[in-house]
Amino acid sequence: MRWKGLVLPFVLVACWELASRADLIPLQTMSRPSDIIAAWWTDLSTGVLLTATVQTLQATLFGFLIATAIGILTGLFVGLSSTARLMISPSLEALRPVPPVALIPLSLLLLGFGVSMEAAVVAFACVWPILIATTAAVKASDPRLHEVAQILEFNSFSYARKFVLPAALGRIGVGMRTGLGIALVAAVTVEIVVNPRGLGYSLIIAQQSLHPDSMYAQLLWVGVIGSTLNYWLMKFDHRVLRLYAGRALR
Amino acid sequence: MIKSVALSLVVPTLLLAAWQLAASGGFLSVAYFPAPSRTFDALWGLIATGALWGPLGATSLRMLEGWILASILGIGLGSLIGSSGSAMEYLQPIVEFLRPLPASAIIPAAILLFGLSNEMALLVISFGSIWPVLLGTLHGISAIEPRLKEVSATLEMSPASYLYRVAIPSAQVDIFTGMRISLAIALILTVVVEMQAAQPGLGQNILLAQRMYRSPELYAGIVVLGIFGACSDRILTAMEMRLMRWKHVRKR
Amino acid sequence: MAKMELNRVSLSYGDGKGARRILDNINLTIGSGEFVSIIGPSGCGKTTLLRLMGGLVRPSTGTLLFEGTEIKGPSRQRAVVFQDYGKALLPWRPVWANVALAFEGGKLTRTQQKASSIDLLRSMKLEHVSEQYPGQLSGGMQQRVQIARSLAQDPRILLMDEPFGALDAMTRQQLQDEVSRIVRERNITAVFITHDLEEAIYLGDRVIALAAHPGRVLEEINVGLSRPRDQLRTREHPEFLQHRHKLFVLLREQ
Repeated sequence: MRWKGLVLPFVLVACWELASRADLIPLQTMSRPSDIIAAWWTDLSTGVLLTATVQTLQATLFGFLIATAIGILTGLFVGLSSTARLMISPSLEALRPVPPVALIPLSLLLLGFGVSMEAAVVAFACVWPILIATTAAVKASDPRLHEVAQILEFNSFSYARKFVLPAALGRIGVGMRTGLGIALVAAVTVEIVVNPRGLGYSLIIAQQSLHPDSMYAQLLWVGVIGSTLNYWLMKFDHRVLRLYAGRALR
Repeated sequence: MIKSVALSLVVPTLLLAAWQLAASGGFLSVAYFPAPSRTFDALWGLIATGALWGPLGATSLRMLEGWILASILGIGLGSLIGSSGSAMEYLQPIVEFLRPLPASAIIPAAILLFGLSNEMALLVISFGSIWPVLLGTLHGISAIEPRLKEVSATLEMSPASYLYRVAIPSAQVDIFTGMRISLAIALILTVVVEMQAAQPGLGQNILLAQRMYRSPELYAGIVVLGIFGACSDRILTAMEMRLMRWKHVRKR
Repeated sequence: MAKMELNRVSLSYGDGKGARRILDNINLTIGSGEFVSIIGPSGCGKTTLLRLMGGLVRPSTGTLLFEGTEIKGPSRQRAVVFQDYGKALLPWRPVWANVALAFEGGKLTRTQQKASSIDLLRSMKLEHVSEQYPGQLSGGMQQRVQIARSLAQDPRILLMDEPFGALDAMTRQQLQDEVSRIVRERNITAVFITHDLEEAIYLGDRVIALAAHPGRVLEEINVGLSRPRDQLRTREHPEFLQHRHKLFVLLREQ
């Protein structure tokens, strides 16, 4: 029963509203749900919310695309050539444990405030699942197909394009979807910490300018965006998986 | 083996050498790309003067507190929800909403509620890190071997006993995997909180270095965090190996 | 008083048109100290019958009485030995701790629990593997560990579901004798499910043959052979062969 899941949130919000009206909860720190909804509507209708959302999504997508390009290319390279793997993998493994947030100050230093700096950090954060998925997908390719390609004298590039890539697409897709989820989180994080753009920044502004109702409204809005994205990604996953599993079985 | 070690060093050595030459030769702006030797000096300076250990300790402590709290809550809640069939129905939408929420987005609210304090840090870090453990526990508990449930029923084990002796241990693989991911998230959030709330630690160090245009310290700080992240993961993996040695022993 | 009584027990799954009747009108008595073997073709519901006796499943109609009281659910007094021993042991605990599981939550201290577990293992000649993990043991030994844990429960009846089905012939014979001995030494009532005709006769004081679709009692045979039994001599005994012949024919006609 889907409606069972709505019981608890509804009850919590109702209690919160009532407790707030009974002056049990300080309004400066925890706004009333009714005020939050009002603030959300205001922010939405003045366009503030949408502008910030677009900015965040811009950086998210920009960084994600960079990560996809780098991730897939590097993954193909490392997955196909064992020499490349021996030469590059250890360096990659040394970079991977660096927490993406640690690169925020560096990115700020090199690129200044703005979209690029944010996209750079986002790209670093979400390249890893894509890279790993691509490497694994490529390595899992059928050696028999490789032999066929060699006999037919395909060069490495053609081999990659015609044989390896199509088969690996499913797995890479999963890596990409994981990466996209990470990308959004990374973008918001950069905005919270330094970048004067997007939803993260407007959250900080709302908090610092003592508009808690606006802040909570935007926090919930970020949650809505995050869970909606997540929901679509999961649905996409299932559909692709079914399609793919069907094809693989033939 | 020697060959693979040598090969792995080729690329970084070449890059670092090229960087060093370009920086010393004035081809690179040293404000943004200081020579690796200066980064190394800065790093060494931190270690030699002992200035590294304070911030390192603060960051580790903060990360561990948040991670441990997240693990305890995650395992506890995960096992309670996982063993009750109906609990998940009521909680699913809330979980599905909170899980993808960027934990850093919580920071302004946390500051509003707790100010720039350790409690705020703990709240943010544990909120973000709880999910992998919680979901891992849930998954592990729901996948428990039905035969073990029957054995517990025959032995007339109390629900608490069953959870503690059978259900949670049977989920240990999923739980440990979740805890490892949680640790990585805890580190990230610790750095974020330090940067955001100006709390002493490695995160604050690199942000300050950026503000004061001290790029060697900046790079040094990144290196330290990278090594710290790698070490904590290795240590956790080693502990996991020990606790799960039952999985790795061979038939005599 | 009979240890276990089944009166008009039936079990069906599903309802209406699609209902499948697994067991139909089973009437049985198991006497105290008896060793009863239950055999039948696949799908005759013998595992379900055992699970009913163990309280792991409720009947659709009829009653099951254990020592005069109706069976409401699983109980320590009715120990179950499962066929898939690997899944019934805790792989993350060493062997002694698996046996000690039956003691936990009780009055013994941890040291006493370990000592009792090792004693039990010693009586089954498993002491030398007490510190190993189940994953390190052979199938036969794992099954013996499960039996050890069942005994640690101090049960009044031992219910065994094709416990040796997954083992090779030689191990099976060793374990048959071991179970016989244990059950006799401790004077435990036992119900033993098997699809192996000879095993059923060799072990049992009584053999109950079930028919399939739906499961129902076909025949009950009293095995009068003397104890202790011997793998070679008993199996060549004329009475053994008589029972075997009779049951073989009976089951073949099903």
